[in-house]
Parts: sequence; C-alpha cells; structure tokens
Amino acid sequence: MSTPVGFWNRNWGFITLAVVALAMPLLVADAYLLSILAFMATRFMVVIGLSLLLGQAGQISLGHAAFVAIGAYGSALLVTRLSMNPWLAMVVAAVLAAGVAGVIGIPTLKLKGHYLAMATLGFGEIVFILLVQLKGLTRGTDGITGIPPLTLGSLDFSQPRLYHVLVWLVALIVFRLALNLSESRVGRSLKALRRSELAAESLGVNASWRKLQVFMISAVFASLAGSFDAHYVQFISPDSYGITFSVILVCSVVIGGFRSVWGALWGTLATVILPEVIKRIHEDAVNLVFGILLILIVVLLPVKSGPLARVAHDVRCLFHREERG
Amino acid sequence: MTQQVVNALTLGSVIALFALGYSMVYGILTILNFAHGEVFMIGAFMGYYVQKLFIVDNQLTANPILIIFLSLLVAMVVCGALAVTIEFVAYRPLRQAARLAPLISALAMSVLLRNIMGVITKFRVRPISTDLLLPQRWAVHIGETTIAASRYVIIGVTLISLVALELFMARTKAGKAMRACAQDREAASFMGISVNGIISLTFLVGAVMAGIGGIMTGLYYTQIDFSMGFSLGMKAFTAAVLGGIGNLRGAVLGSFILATAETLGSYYISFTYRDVIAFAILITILLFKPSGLLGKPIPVKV
Repeated sequence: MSTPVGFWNRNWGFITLAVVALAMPLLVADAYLLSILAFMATRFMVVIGLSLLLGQAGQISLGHAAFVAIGAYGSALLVTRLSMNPWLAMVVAAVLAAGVAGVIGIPTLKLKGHYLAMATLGFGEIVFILLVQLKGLTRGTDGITGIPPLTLGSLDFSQPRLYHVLVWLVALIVFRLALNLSESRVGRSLKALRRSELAAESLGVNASWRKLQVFMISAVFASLAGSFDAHYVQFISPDSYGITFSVILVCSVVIGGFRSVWGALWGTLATVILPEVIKRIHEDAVNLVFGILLILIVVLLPVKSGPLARVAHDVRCLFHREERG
Repeated sequence: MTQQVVNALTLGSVIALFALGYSMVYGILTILNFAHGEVFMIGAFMGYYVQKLFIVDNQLTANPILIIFLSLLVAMVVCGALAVTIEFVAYRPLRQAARLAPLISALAMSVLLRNIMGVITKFRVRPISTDLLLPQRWAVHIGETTIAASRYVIIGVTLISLVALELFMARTKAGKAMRACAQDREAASFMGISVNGIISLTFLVGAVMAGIGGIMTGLYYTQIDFSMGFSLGMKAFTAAVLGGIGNLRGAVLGSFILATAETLGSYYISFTYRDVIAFAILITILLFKPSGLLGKPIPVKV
C-alpha cells in the first residue's frame, strides 16, 4: 500500500528532478545559462515523445523536427495573423500535429517494416521545403518576427526566470505523463508487442492502434515544445527544423538509452551540453562526434563476446539505465 | 519537348544508378541503408580528385575519355571497398539484433561519413570541369534539339551499367545466389550459399553502381558537395520505394518515372517546388501502395 516511504521510494527520482529543475532560477543568474536551461526543457519534451516512440513502440521517426515546426509556425501564424490567444493557438497547433501524425501513421503503422521511418523522412523534407518556399505565408528564410510572448493575467513569461519555471513545469508534467504511460495498460501492451507481436495480438492487443497512439502523443509533445520556443524567442525561421534537427533528436534518444523514459533526460542533457563544449574545441565537429557516439552505442552495445565484449559492457553500463519502478 | 525528354532521361539515369543500391540492400536485409547516399557522394568526390590530377592551368593533360574512365574505375573501387567495410562494421554485428538497431546504425554511419567528408572538404562546394572533359563541340544536334556530350555520355554509361547488372543478376551463379538470398536467406544457406559472402557482394555491387552514378552526377551538375548524398539520396530512395523497394527493375522504372515527373513539374508547374514533387510521390506511394509499382505485396500485420 502507499505509505509515505513507499511513495518516496517509487518517486524519488522524479521528485529530485522536479526540485532541481524548478530551483534553478534561484541558483543561476546568468541569462545565457538560463536560456539554455529553458531550451533544455523544450528539447526534453520532444525527446520524451520520441523516446516513447522508439522505446515503447519500436518505431522511428526521422521527421520529428516537422512536428516541432508545426507547433512553432502554427502558434506564430495563428497569433500574428489571426490575433488568436497564444495559449489557444498552442492547443490548435498541437491538435493539427496530432492529426497529421494520424494521417501518416494510420497506413504506415499497419505494415511490418520501417515504413513509418520512410514516410516521416519524406514528410519532414516536405515541411522544410514548404517553410522555405511558401514565402507569402512563412516569409521563407527571413522567418517570422514579433511573435508575442506568453502572458497569464499579470504574469509576463518573457521574463527569463518566470519562463524557466513555466516551461520546466510543463516539461515535468509531460515527463510524468510519459512515465505513467509506460507503466499503464498502453505501456504494458507495447512491452508485450516488443517481445512478440504474434503473442500480444493473440491476447487482444491491437498493435497498430497502440503504435499510432504513441506516435500521435509524440507529435503533440513536439508541437507543444515548438510553440513554447517560438513564443519565448519571438522569432522563428526554417533553419531550425531541417533533417539535421530530426537526426539530433534521434541521437538524443539513442544516447540516453530508450529502454526507459528516463533515458530521455540523459539524452537531452548530453545533446544540449555536448555541443556547447565541442563548439569551443572545433566548430564543425559537433555532428561528427554525434555520429561516432551513435555508432559506438548501437554497434558495441549488443556485442556479448570477443575482444570488444568488455568495452561493450562498460558502454552498456554507462548508457543503459535499468527501468525504475 | 525533346529537350525535356533528354533532361528526364539524364536525371533518371543518375537516380537509377543510385536507387539500385538502396533496393538491393533492402531486398536482402530489409534495412534502409542511409549510408548509401554517402557512398555515392564519396564516389562523386573521387571524380573530383582524379580530374584535379589532370588539370593544370585550366588545361587537360590527358585524353578526357581516359580521365573519365579512370574516375569511374577509382570511384567503383573506393565505393565498393567502403560499402563492404560499412557492412562489416555497422551492420554485420547487428544481424541478430532488434530491427531498430541497424536502422540507427545506418543513420549514424551516414551522419559520420557526411561530416568526415564535410571536414575534409571544408564544407565547400567543389567544381567538376564538365566543359573540359566533355567539351561543347561534342554536342549532337537532332533537328531543333541540342544534346550536350555530358547528356549522352551519362545515358550511355547508365545503359551499359544497367545491362551489365541485368546480365550479372540473370546469368551468373553469384547473381542467382543473390536473388536466392533476397527470397529467403535461411533456405539459401541450406542450399550451401554463403549468405554473409552474398550480403557483402550485394553491398559491393550496389556501391559500384553508386560509384558510377556519383561520377555521372558530377558531370551532370558540374559541382558537388558533401551533402549531395542526402539531397539526391532522398530522390533515389523515393524512386526505389516507388518501383517497389527490393525490386531492381522497379528501382530503375521508379527512377525514370520520378525524373519525368520532376522534369515536367519544374517545367510546367513550378521550378521552386520541384523537390516537393519527389517527396509528395514518396508520401503518396507509402500511404496508398507501399509495396510500390512492381513490388510484391507487403504482409499486413502478423
């Protein structure tokens, strides 16, 4: 039963994260550092969604940047062109992202194989080209400026500290939802699907529907993150939403380990902090290092024998956390 | 109009040489070999490095045909060796792993190779001297249409390569073994076929075609850069899916259809949206007929 001690044992990780994340504005005064931390929260949201998709549904999306773009451009356009309330615009964009994910996911997730990967790759490119070329709507590479910041009553979220608290609160809620999902009926049936699709289906699990659910949820998380970023930075341009970003997102999930949603946190920390460090050594080496890391993780992890087994074991210990109950 | 046909045929040729590799590897291993685009790009750069050896003060120091032949040879050897190495390093250790692992590994290889080439070439565009190698005066005039030398060389080399590949697949023992492995790897191994050897051979053959394609692409666009493997790779990949991924004739058919759509689209509809056409085809085919035009039906669920 749920005693206070039992509650703490089950949730100490989450509580620690929440306290640390929300206390940051009290400890950090540097504006640049604060903006990186806030940016980390939105990145975290996207990576959580993608981590669910990879880890729970065993599917990969190579166009997740496009969903972030739907959030960002959806919010920005609805607010600047139609003077919609920013909060409402955010929700509308998220619904749109979910709808698009549904259209892509319904036919492709029914098939065995990497059809979702192929479709999202193409979808991501189409969105990127449209952002650049639909100049009348998106102003092309010039981007959209003057996106109003979020406000709530007298609270103005363009203030770094206040925004930090808001965006981390949302990220924590998203994280909690994801943790619950992976332990819920949906999570359990997805786990069963990974072990044996045939066995799970014979027990009444609707495989493609479950995968579609997770894909749509991940699209919503990505869209929300895009909206928050757009309102905070108050400027968006297509550069941020290309294939490179999609690949970095996949990197984050893989580097953190996708057996557990917690991996999303480690992956986000690694892929936000690493580039800041590498940039100081060599400007162009960031993606190179990501590539090497990815190869090491994927190729070395499964090695169980031979001269590389020991190295592989160490890497495994580094990157694959056990699931926390 | 004839000009558009020539353009479509040239673009289709380049894409076909590229798309075959995607289709072959998918056919045998059902993995999306994203690193194939980078193999193709490195092939194109081999053309750049070879021609650089023979150009002094904007003058050729050897017979242009010889230079093109040498570029082709170097590109084929380098790409072949590279692809076999990639397979050995990034895919073979994952043969028994979950389906997601080789996909991520392929993505990683692609990112890695692209950025290595980016650092080597300082992320700059490099020129290919098509004017020197295949001069204007070699152009052929048919009525109103002028067919530049680069165009008929690309179409001709592609035709020869495709016929050679078709003969290889249909007539040789190795080709037969490749087809057998694509049908059923386990059954093929019972028949005494060395499956790992055939997989290496598949990567080799696909990469050799990509090497030829890389050189041809350089001649076609007259400039190359480290990211061309991705941008053109998406089109090649679309062509492979359109024709039915895993089906070689389908890949060639898909390439020419895609090239025709793109050429006509950029001529009659809009030049700026020509890239959207390819991706729109990709999405449409995946949504409505994911097995492609010539592919066998995909088992829906279990």
